[in-house]
Amino acid sequence: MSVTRREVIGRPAAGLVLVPLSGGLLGWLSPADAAVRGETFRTLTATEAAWLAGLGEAIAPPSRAGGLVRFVDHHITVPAADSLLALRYLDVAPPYANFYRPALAALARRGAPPPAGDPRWTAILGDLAGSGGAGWSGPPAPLFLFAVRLDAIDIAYGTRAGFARLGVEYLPHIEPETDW
Amino acid sequence: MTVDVAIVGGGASGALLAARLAEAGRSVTVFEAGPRREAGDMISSQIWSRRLRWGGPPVATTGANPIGFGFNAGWGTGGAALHHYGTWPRLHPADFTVARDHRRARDWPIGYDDLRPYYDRIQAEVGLSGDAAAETWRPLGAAYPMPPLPPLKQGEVLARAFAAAGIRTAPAPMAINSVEFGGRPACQYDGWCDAGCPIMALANPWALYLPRAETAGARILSDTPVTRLLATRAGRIDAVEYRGADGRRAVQAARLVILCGSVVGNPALLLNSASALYPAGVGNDHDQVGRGVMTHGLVQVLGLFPDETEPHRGVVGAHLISHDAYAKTATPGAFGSRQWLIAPSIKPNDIAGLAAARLDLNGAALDAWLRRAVRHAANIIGMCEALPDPANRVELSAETNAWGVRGARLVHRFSDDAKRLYAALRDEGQSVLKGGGATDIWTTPMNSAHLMGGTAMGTDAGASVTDATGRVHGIDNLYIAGPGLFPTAGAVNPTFTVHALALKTSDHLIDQRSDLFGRA
Repeated sequence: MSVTRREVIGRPAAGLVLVPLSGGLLGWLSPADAAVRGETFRTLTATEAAWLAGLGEAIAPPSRAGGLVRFVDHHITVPAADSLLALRYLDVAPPYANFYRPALAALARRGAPPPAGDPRWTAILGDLAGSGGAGWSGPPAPLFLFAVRLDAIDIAYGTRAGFARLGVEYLPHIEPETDW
Repeated sequence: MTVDVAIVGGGASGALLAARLAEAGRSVTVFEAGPRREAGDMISSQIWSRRLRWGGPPVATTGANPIGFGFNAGWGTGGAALHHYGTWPRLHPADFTVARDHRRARDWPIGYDDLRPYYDRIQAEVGLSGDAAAETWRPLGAAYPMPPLPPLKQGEVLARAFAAAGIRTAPAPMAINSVEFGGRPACQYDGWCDAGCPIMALANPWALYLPRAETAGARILSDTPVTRLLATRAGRIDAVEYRGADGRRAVQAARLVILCGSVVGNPALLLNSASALYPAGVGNDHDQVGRGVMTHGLVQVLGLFPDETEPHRGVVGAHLISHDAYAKTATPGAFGSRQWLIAPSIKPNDIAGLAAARLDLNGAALDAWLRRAVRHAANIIGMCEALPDPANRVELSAETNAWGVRGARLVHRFSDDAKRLYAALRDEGQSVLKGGGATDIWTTPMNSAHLMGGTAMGTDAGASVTDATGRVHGIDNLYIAGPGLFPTAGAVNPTFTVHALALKTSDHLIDQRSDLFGRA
């Protein structure tokens, strides 16, 4: 498919991500679809993405399948004024990648993230609610945990699919064209 | 070309002043730092709504109790009023005379009786829903032009809880149409007020004053931050320097300049305009610019009730209100006013959403709790006064920001009185919900809402920034509008008072300052 400049400008703002398709073509996918296809990320490394996905899932399980990693990866990459992260409310100075990446790197020094449902997640969440645990670096651990918590809950429960999961009517005046 | 009026900021007060002055025949240019917003930008999503919040150069919020600037401020035409909740109580007469009555803080240079006619005119023009008779504490004023919003299920549950506790409530005074008014439709109670109201049932600036301003010929520039005020002689501003949408610096000469930016933006601009004429910053001869910034202390109390409450429906501001303990000395052991905002709608996510109430729950436990909460939760917001403290201030940082000027810092701590008022609200709220039958109750830590002060009006040029009209002391053609003018803040949401003050300033400029424009 051919991708025009207008599309390149407009679609990221609508939350779609540009990914390589078969035959050397490019295409736009929702972050959730992109996650399923396993495409690479714009800013996060695979290790950082794995920790973010695990952390989000430990807080709000539907966030992984909902595309938490794509959401955060996209919105720490775009200009801050276009970002839809709840981090905007917390007066953290952009670039927002400088908030997430050192914290995720500190977690990555523990090794690979535990699998979903592993009891070690309880200890990890406990560490983040305090000092962050041994070797922590980056933003204050409780602030990082709070931000990721808001992100995970956004993706798990703050979209139309999330409302439906809870059995709540969405009732939009203007329906979002995409979740983010 | 010299314009009659340069307005810095396209939010609530800037929109009103632009409309009034353009309709009076003045050439008006509004400089808005953020992008142009339209109804189509008000997407029903907590996630998408974040585009409406501050997106300019970062403001460093610091001090013992930092205020959330990113949450409170707006970004784009309409400003913070684009995502405000439309809760419009009036200040009480005693809010204007705290120093005279209690030897604390400072008085307003005007009294309630001076502002009352402007409150009445604004509510007739904008349209307010409410029940004046039911607000037994309400200051004198005209009855509301629309009947009140219905309490809906959450409000009914909470009204019973407050009644059981012996605390009077009334329908909240809301700048939201309960019936069709002014060509705008009635509210649908879908709970997206903080994402912007595209149907214009809520009186945001695009519902009324910005379209009026454009119709009257005002030029509204977006993506155009003003970076400095320029002066070549004392007592007068010649022009504003701005950064155009293309990033280039330019200058606009103006006969009158009105600062309608945020509580941070206005002082930062005055301080960044320091020159040989104004070495400490424009209007800052007495080190008052930026000082005395205030916020409202806030607690949210949530409970789960046996009844279905449908908390996602309604309006985000409040359906009911109580000022039963508003008097300055009504709270034992603490000084200051407080109010309850009752039954605001609440969605599952976001920083003030249901899930944020339970930081202790994760995974399956959070999921299970949310499934109950979206059907059975009810919530109340306690809001309290914090008197001005000169140490709570806007100041410039050492760094140069993306606009090529020094960035802003906002320093804040809550007073002990404010902390005691918060504690009283928290305890009272828990008691009310428990007595009303809530089975599980949670409270938030002390948060903040609203920004006020920093460019206070007053009679003493040594202890304030502007006079009672909003004119900066010692500068003939420079005015300020907005909540920055508040010498004290009471405990009520500020937007109604912002509109009333801006209307008063517009009358003054139209009726008494034709001299500024070189013609009678």
